[in-house]
Amino acid sequence: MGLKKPTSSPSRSPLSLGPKSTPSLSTLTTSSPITAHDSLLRLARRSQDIPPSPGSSIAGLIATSGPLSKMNLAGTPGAHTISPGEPNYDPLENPVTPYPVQTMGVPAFRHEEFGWCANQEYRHTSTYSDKSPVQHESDEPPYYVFLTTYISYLLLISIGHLRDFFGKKFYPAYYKDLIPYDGYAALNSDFDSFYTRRLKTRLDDCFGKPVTGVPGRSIVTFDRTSDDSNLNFKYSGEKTRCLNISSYNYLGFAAATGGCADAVEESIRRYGVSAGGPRLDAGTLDLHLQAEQLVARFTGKEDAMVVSMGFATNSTTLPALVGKGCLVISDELNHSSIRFGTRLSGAAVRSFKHNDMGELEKLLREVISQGQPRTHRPWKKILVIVEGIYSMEGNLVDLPMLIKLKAKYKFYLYVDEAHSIGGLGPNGRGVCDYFGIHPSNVDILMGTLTKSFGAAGGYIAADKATIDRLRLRSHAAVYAESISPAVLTQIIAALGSIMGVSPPLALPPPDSPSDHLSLSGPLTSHPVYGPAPATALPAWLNLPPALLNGTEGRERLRRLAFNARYLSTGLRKMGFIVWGHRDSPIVPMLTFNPAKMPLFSRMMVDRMGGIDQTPIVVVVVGYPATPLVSSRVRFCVSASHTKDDIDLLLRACDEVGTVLDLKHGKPEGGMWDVERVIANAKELVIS
Amino acid sequence: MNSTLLNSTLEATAPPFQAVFDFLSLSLAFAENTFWSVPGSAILVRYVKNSHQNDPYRTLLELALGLFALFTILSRRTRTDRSAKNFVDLSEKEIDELVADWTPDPLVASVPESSVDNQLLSSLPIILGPVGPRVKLASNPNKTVINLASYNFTGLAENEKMKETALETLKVYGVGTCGPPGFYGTIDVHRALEANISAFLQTPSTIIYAQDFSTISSVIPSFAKRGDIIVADRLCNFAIQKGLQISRSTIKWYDHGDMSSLEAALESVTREAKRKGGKLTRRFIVTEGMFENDGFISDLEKLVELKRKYKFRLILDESMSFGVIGATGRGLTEFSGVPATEVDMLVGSMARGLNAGGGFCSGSLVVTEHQRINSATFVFSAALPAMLATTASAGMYLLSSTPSIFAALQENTKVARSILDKLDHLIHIPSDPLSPLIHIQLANPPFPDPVDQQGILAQERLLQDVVEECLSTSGVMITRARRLRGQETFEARPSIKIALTSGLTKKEVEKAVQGVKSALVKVLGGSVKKR
Repeated sequence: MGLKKPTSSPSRSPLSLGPKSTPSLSTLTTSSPITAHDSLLRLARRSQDIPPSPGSSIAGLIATSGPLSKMNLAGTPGAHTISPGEPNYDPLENPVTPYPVQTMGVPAFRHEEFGWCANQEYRHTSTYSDKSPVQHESDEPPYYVFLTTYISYLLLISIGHLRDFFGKKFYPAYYKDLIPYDGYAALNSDFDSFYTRRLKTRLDDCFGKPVTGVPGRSIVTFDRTSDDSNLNFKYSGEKTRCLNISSYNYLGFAAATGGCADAVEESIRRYGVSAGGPRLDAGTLDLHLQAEQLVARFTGKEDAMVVSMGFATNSTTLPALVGKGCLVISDELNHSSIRFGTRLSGAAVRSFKHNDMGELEKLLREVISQGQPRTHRPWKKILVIVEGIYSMEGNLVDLPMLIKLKAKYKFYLYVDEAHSIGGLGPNGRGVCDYFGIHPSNVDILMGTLTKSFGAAGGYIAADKATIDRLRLRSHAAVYAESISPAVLTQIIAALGSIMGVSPPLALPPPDSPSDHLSLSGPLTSHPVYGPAPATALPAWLNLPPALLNGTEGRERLRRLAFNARYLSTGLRKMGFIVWGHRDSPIVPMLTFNPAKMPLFSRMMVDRMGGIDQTPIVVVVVGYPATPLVSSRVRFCVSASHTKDDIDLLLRACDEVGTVLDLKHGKPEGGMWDVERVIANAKELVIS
Repeated sequence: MNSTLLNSTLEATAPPFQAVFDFLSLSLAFAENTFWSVPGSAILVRYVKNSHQNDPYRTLLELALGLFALFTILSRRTRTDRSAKNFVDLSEKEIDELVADWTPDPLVASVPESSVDNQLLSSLPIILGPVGPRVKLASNPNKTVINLASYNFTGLAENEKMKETALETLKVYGVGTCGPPGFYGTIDVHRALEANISAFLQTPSTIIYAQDFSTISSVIPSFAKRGDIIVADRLCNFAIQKGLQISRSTIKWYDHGDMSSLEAALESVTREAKRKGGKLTRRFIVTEGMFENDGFISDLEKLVELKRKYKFRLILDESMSFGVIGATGRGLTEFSGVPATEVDMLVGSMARGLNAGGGFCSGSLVVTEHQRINSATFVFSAALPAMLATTASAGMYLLSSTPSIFAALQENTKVARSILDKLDHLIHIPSDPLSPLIHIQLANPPFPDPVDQQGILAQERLLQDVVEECLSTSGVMITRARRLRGQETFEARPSIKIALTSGLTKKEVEKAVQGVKSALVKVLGGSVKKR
């Protein structure tokens, strides 16, 4: 029964970041033959290395800031203060606006994770106003931009084919895995992989860059270079801390410090990390039920169910809702998980033009009057699936119109709030909250817990009958791992702190900034979004007052709303073509030409020009995730960003965008320069 | 227009028509001149002439092809569009009436209070506090029960080292990753875990996923596409079934665990392919290491031999066996002494055997790198939380450095089997004698193989009674294997699951399994006598 011990096997050292290779190059450049024994020694070392002890590779990095980073706090008696303008000043580690320790005490977060931004003027409430349309008109670039974009792709494709043509003759080794050999068909055909090999590889350095630490306001990336056009990467071991405008950390709950992290710590001590199996076997802990009750309360629905993965929330639930004889009508830009789920369900699928309610109505009239294809029997039920915020476009769903259509056409409505939950609405409860529509108007509210709440997994909220049915029929409930208790605690703490916990809703601590603006107002006008009852939280959970009374949660919501609107409006004013709604925390900025994607990404990290050279990591997206001509940069703003961070980003975009000729927009009232935008931030947000 | 009328007008107005004809011939001549002046037009004409001379039908064919292409481009692509034969033209008023008339089914079928489903939800055990060999349940918070239901084979769930690792990770990484691997969601601990799994299994490369269930159901369709052929075991778990469905490949089933049936299937596929000729398609064998549905352990040596003989690739789902069988928990490959490199795609779970979270696929570099771009649940889902990655690494370290864990687990399995095997007149155990996951089915006779949903339901009810009896009388928590009846490709026989753990002593296991035995005898014994 023993393992046949291989004499040698290529493997990467567990601690080092091995080379990334494409499928076509199967050689491991740093591979070394190690025996099983060696590798286990390394395993051992690895697991002991995790604590942030001095000298450990991970820890060394965090140690630069130190726990709670008192050293870096401006105004701390005896501490050395590096203020803006000094040679070693880094805006990622020290606030531009100094932190008044004497009056405020030590902040609960590291500035690198969650920025210090006390100015109450830089706050906004995310709410719908019928003065501005749900769908913004977007500017079109001049024709030469389209023309050059098409020519670029033509060139890229021709060169790719040329390289393949000659490559097959001169470097057959490269194509070894793409052609049948020894009676096996190739795993990946030459044709199918053309796009990946010849186009995507060119910008591979912009994707999948390894990071370490918390994906908070800033993130630490591993530096890497490539000598062979991104086929393999070399890691020097150097790391760079960058401003993170890429993670889905909308409310800034990704943190290793603060009240939520402390709650998770307590939870790990009590529960460990495993829930021990699928929900319906014996994998249901008291924490699962508590988290579900809290999610239900948060979304304003009767009941909710949590699933251990956001993608699986859609893909394992949809088959339990619809089946043969049912019709799913899906927005053409819906997420892959929705398509995955509908395909599994066996229901018929039709799609409508993105966010086009007119076309949806036409389609509804057609499908209801025609019935099922061939038999003309009426559909058993019709489920319309839309997303709250579309992750690549930043568009909001036109929920008011959808609700009107729903009343007339009697379809069921499924809203995927992966990006909008927490990120939208005066109470952070997503699109219903934002539009002031009672959540009972939407049959099923789905969302993820990965993004706004810094945890993992997803939820489905609906009425009790539906959820009970899903608990029994959803694939995930029966067969998939249940959420880890540590992750559940993060969910409970994050949700609880946004809702505030009652009774009694604690008063804001006397030394905290005045929060009267956020405690009154929108909250009371939505009785459905009340605070969390104290009984819904685990008895052992000990949240600090700022979390319990909801002040911190509300600060987060209001900071996010400000940052989102400021960045989106600011970029537009500066002449960039920006899509999406101004209240959306996803801000896509169009680059059009494919070559500008990697250039923008690299230049934002390298920051050649200007006095300030803080590196910024951005996400670029191109075909096939977007239409061919609309390659884009996608910013995801967070409550953890300060106004100074957004200023920094705007300046960087100005610097890079001018060089790359990206300012093709025609903003109303003419183009502003970046300093004018920054000076008028407040006005831009209110406008 | 009437033809006589046309004739008369033609005669009457000859001069104006003359002008029209003149204009037509002039423009035709102009078009011809322009055509000839275009460089290369002579070559085209020569080519058409030649080809027409050589093969007149070809011209016809090419013309038809051209028209067809034009037709295809112009016609709309949606399935039930207006041009379809089946489309009924309705007036706006009729549509309004139909819309007003239409009453959809309720979103979910209503469940009567007394149904089995409802009972299932109310009888669901809710664990208060941590998962371990002894737990407290919400139904009776004052009593501690023995837990043989949770997947905690090697006792990692309550291991202090795992907790420490999680705490240390929390302090550096927080909880969530807030992004997919492609967008700054690849953390160094993910890469370390991948390297650790590769080292643990001795495979060249590994890719990790955020959830175990979604791993295999995405790995299969990332390789197998329409037209490819998959030969799969009939009793494969639900996740595999879903992966097969998504792949849209041609599926051939072989009898559960039957290597001769597999060989016959492979033979027929090969013969068929030879007969048809054409392009070589990708061919896969999909099976499990240790079956989630019944605890049967596959014969890997034979599988590898067959796969090599017929040139199929092997996708082996070790979700249930990784971290569970083998001398140090490396799964079926270690158990059968076959190097893991013989398996093309080795899929496993970090949530079950390692009590952490997520899943992985191990194989050659080509295999794993392909998935980083083409596997839906890897590309479109947020990455695994850092603490689950580090605890998985710690779990592997603990398993490989503590051989006594597996000795204890094997001992406990043996004890449990020796007690349960005596009940062969009541129950049937399809699980391997060495499998720490024991499935108990009703013996066949006196309980016949259920043929319909009614029969399945009746057996499940009986088994549920055993589960409840066992908990209330003996204080041992076991679980009925939950299934998605009606959604499964093949309905597995109803069974009870016992998941043994090294966290209990031999004596404790003996006592607990005796409890299970007496519950079985009490509930099933009566039914046997009645017959």
